[in-house]
Amino acid sequence: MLKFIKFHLASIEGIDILASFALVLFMVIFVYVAYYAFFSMEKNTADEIANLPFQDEEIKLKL
Amino acid sequence: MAETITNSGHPTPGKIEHFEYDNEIVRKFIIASMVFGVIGMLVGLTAALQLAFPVLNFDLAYTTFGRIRPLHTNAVIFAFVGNGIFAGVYYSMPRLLKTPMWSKLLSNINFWGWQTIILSAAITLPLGFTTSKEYAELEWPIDIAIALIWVVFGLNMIMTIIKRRERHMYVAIWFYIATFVTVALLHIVNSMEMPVSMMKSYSMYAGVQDALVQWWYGHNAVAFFLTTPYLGLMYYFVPKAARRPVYSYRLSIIHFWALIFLYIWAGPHHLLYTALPDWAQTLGTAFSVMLIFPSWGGMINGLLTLRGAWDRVREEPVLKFFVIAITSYGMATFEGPMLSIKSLNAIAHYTDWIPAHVHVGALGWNGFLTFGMFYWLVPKIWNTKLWSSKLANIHFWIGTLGLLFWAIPMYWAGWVQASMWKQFTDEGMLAYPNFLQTVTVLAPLYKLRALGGLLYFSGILLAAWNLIKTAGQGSLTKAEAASAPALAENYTKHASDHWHRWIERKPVQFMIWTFVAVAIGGAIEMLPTFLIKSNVPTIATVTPYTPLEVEGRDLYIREGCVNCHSQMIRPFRSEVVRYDPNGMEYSKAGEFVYDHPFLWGSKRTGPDLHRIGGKYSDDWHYNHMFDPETVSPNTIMPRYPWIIRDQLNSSSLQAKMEALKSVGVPYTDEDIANAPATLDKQAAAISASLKAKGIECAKDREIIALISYLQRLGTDIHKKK
Repeated sequence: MLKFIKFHLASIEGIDILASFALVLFMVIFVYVAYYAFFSMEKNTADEIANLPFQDEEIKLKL
Repeated sequence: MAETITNSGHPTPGKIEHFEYDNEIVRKFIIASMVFGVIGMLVGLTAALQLAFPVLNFDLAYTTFGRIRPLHTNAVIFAFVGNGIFAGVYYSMPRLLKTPMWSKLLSNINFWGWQTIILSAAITLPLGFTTSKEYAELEWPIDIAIALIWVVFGLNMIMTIIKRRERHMYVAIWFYIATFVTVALLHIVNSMEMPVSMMKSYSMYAGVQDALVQWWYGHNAVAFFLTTPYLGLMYYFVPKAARRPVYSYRLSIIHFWALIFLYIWAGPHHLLYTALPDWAQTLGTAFSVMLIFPSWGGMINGLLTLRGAWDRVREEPVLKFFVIAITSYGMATFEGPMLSIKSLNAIAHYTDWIPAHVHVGALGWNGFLTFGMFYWLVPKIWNTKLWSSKLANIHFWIGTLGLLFWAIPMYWAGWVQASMWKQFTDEGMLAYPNFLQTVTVLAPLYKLRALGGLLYFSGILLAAWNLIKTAGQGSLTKAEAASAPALAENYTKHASDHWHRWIERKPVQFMIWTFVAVAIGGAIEMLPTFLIKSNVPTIATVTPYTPLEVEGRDLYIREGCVNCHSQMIRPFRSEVVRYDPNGMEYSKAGEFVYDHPFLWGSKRTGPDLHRIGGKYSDDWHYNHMFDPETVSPNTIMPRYPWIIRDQLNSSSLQAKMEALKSVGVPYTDEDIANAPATLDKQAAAISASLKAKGIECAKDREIIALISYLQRLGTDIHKKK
């Protein structure tokens, strides 16, 4: 394992593998989160959560 | 009534509960932030003036630039901004979670503990107790105290989240969680030190590895102390002040994950063209460039929250401050990725461009967001209106002018410096071979920068006055009554719930995933550098420092020489010719294997010193330290008469060598046993060389040790085995 890291990862030649791994990982997270935020989450839900900072005042008004 | 109130769309027929928000702790943190803000900025102004008028160093150890510069950075980052973060978090988090902080006692331990740490920093840094690692200068007992108080803050925060009455954690809370987790990780890893005494330690890491860990910490201190908590505050206070929800909650989700995942990789961009392995530099560059996307996503989200409220920006100072803060964030996070591109970094690094970049972020983003937040918060918790909107507007304009007068001259200075350092004549010689030529030309720009600092400092004085008067005309609600329905104890995940939506309601799991996201980058960059020897090739002629040099190096650290002098010659013709004209060697990784801590520096107000050894005579160094003007007319370096005068305290020499041995420096038992005699012999030789030049200097003076260290610097590589 250490040899693999030494010869293939931790060198300027291995930068492609390291960076590719990181980019793939990032893209997976990005696509997943983007899918959740823009397609899976309903508009009402997003609006409601965005209003959380105002709920303390709303509760006071209701009470 | 109770049945009509729901939690985030999931009706929870909970009983209405009554509780109180603790505004007293918010008040304390606001006061502390403003008091330390005034002090920290005054020290910063003094440091700026010292570079324009060196006489203001006062020939005193405690007020000299090398010691007060870290005092300034620590005061503004950890005292002004740190207390600002706590004030904002302790106000916003309970309200977002509809519950008071879990423990008032822990809140108060957090407050008093943090102020004690700041006071310790204010005492120890001018006394010269420093590790020399930027933004992590405090010695090991204070490091432990920071870790403990941070855990107190984190425990209080996590328990508050667990005990909440709002099922959903708003995005501001995510940023607070990321701040807690990552700052703890950064601080603990970077502060691994081997103590010698109560106020002296050596970094566990050496040279390249120490540099990588330090800038992984240093960059992410910016990311997770100056950015993520402030983004959390932005996501709460900007909508509150604008009285409209955040522009896109969806965008904030992507902003969060992308930002924390990418930021942690970017540290090596502080070490481009240094002895750090190329692969690590390239990774740092790649991720720094990518970082512009989440950063600008956040900036756009913040600015667009003001959509439809721009007319009020004209009228309300709070919104004005927020607009400049978010715009500055956008500017700094555009500039950061650009500076991480190697060709631009080759120009800007070590020049005044970098402080300009830093101050756009610090004065604009952190300063203005803090002021805006306080202008909104103080009237709120004191139940009154802002005493003077006019004064706040004056503060806004004077602060903005201060920011511009600070940054523009320094951008200019950066270009001038870089151009002069790199310029060759037609004959192939350096156009400005004397480094001092590139310093004296900057004098007018340094004066303009000090004017910018003065304007900004005047602004915080106006803010302090305005806030005091506001508090004076109002009445503080120490405990603010509130009500909310209890949260149902058992929450059943709905079939339609997305996994992410589930984790947004699980603070511990959320914390673990945040940790995973930030740990990946750090691990991939650091583990190979530590585990694989070929990343730091050794050089046979490089040997550990002699006992006298160890003492000299500690004096170099004590006086903060690293604040103005780098020890890293980059592989550029202009640098090799300037700093090692005879040997023509740039700095190699193997030369630093015994450097605990590394002293590469990040700014060249004075020249690089890595190959200073042997360049000048012992008496030149003696005269230079006593009065730099005698050998370098018009220099801005302070005088160091106390180093000439004071006796070297070498009582802990053997303990120091033992500590260094335990972190990997190959001293033998014999070396350590003979250390006092070896020190004495080398000191006598330097004293004799000074005497030969007509300088009477006893061998037990501090200057002797410092000269020995300076004369050793960068010479090993030219030795023949």
